[in-house]
Amino acid sequence: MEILGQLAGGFAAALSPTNLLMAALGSLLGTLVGVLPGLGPTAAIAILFPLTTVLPPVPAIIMLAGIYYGAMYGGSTTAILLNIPGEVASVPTCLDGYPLAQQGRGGVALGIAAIGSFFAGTLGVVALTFFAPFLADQALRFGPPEYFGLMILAFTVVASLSSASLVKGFSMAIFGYFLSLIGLGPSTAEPRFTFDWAPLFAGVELIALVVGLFAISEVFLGLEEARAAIAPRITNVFPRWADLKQAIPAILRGTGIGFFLGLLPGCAPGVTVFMAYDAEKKVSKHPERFGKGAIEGVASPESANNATSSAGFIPLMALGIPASPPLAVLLGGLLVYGLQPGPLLFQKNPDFVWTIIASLYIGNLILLVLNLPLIGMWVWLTRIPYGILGPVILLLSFVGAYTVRNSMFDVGVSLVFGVIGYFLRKYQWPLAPLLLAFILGPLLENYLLQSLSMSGGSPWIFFQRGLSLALIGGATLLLLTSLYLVRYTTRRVKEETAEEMAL
Amino acid sequence: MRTIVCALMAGLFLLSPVAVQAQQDYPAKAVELIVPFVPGGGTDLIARLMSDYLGKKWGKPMLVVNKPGGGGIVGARAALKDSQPDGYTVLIDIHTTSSMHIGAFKAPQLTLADRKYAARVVRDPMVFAVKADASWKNFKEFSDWVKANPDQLVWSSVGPSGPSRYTAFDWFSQIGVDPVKTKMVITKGAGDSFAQLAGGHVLLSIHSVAEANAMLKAGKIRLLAVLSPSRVKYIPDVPTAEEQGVMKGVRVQWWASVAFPSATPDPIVKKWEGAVAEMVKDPAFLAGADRISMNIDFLPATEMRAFVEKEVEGYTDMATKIGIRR
Repeated sequence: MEILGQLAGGFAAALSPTNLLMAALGSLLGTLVGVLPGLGPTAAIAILFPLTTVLPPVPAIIMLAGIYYGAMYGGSTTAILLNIPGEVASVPTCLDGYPLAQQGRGGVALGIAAIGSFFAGTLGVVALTFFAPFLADQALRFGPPEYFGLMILAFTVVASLSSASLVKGFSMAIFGYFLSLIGLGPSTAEPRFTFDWAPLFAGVELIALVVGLFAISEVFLGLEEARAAIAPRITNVFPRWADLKQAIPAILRGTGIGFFLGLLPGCAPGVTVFMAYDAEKKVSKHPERFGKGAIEGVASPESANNATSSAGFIPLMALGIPASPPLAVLLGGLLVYGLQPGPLLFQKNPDFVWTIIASLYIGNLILLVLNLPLIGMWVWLTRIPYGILGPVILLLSFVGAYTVRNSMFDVGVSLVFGVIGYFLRKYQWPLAPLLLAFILGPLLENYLLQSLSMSGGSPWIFFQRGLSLALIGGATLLLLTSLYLVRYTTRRVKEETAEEMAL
Repeated sequence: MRTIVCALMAGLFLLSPVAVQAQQDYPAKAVELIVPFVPGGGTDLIARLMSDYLGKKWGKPMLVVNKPGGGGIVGARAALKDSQPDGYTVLIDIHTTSSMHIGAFKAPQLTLADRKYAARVVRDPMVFAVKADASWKNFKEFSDWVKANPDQLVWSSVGPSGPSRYTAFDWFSQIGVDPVKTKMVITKGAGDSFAQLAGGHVLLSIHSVAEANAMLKAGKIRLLAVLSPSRVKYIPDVPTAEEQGVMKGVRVQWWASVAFPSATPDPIVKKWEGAVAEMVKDPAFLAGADRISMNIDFLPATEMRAFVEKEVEGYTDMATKIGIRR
């Protein structure tokens, strides 16, 4: 049981006071930002990411993972208490969570959500522990053609990230790829689209882009809507036994659905939560209770959400494919630290990987322990007027964009993309495909050129090698599957919210 | 009111004998060490070792500031051209941001006239690596095989104009192989490149000793030769290319130095030269360098300048012949 030995080593490292503190701090900060109205996990990670860059890689990534979990949970809090889903994955939680809150049982709903998230998150990490090394063992078989196939596979995610319109999704992906072209080319080092202007030689900085698109645009939107929210009073947060008995089967089902669908690199939590909610409604003996405050209606999608998020770590760590927008930001984080996720991560940095995996277990537990007693405080936070909150977020964003490269140019870049992001979101152009293409585009180009160098220019190399052929075949299959799933989800989002939302 | 305060402050600032005072008391405040690459790379690691030692020695913070992008030129420009030449901004200057960049461009963004060297700290030679179970016994045998089968040689380089490409070109020229016949796979870095070597996707990788050490310890690769005037202490069993009668001279290697904007006062640069000379004898600093397999090889300011000038000639010549000088 080599895995258990390595995991034990990881725990030893993750339990060091610094790392433990970072996991706790990350969870806390993540929840803190995630709970702010309208800020979803992606924005939360984007805002907080630069804070971690002052740390060495291991505590930094541990903190990021904590932020991720915390922000996911924070998003559920606003969904339940204020009926504001920070992102599409929280829409089903609103459906029954908000009615529960109006009945004065919001605390119970939050408690169930925390327990469901903990259970699903932990199960996901257990699977990551045993499955990811198996994938990583195949590491060295991955040459440039295989990676090219993998990138094609990753690009199929664009389809499921495209919300209502595939045309919009692919247009945004092309826009993102174009942005990634600016600067010195990855293989040729030829300046592209730099217009002989020195700052552009370094290209568009990922973090400045993310902060602008997701965080700054959020502030503009929030100020425009003059968001004001009055949260209901909270009494008891600990669920009664009767609530638990109702919720447990739902948690199990939600976890199962979320996890197995989440293994598909193209399946975002936004997809699985709807499937989980629908499944729960179908198996229930009293489907009429759903939408009026059924506890299962909170338990199931919340578990699915976290199970998918945890399962998403498997393709992320083992193959370098991000399954959802927050994971795409996390992928950027790993790259900033010079850690290229993928099969080789396990070979080159085993200590790092196992420390992270161990800290995911710990992070899940910390989140549960922190959140149950702190729910009262989160509720209070949601009452801060946006006029105060907005400028604070804006300030954090600018500081964040500056610190990555210590460059004022990047602050300007983030502001420009804040404005662009504001309009894109206002008119429902999905941002996630843009980000995905921005990150994966240069990699795709790189592996394509490398493969063609190896074969002396012949594209047959992609079809002659079994693994790369399988990956490209898989990509085709996935594309078709996710096209189906997207159509299904879009229809459900429309039914429930009567509007289109970006997944 | 505000105008008066501003005027007063400006006056005070002008009155203080900044210039003279600054050089005697240097460093009087925190110094920024600009690393034009991401954290965690070789340049960053050596800068952090230096900041540790000098921070303690001078009792002032030495801040490592990473300004990556544009192959290091963005950060190097920021340090050499866009900062005050007062000694409080220092560039960790390496081959990529100086000699190699100057050699590859007809109108380089930065020239030797833009900087003043204090000293070289590291010289990390290049090695020729093959897969651990490859059949070639030594560099001579491998070179003969490449001579006979140039079209079968798939090798990995970092970037289109990095040290690996120049090293390979120098080697090809010396053994009489047409580089165009070989297949060059451009990778993003030593990690990526060695992974392809260990997986058997390429046959040869050329990197520095420090970069090769991890894969070497993992038993995944074997070193056929080191391109250095003499053997290197971290890999005592690896013969030099010259020893094996394959190549003469050393035109390419990885190195790191301390550089300042050209208008920086000489006393400050001198002070750094002296401090680095002491640093490279400090046991704690050397132990740190051992941990990252960095071959510490001090060169004082004057010799350093001559060394870089000679490298510029070499790179200009090779870049022209390869056809990548523009």
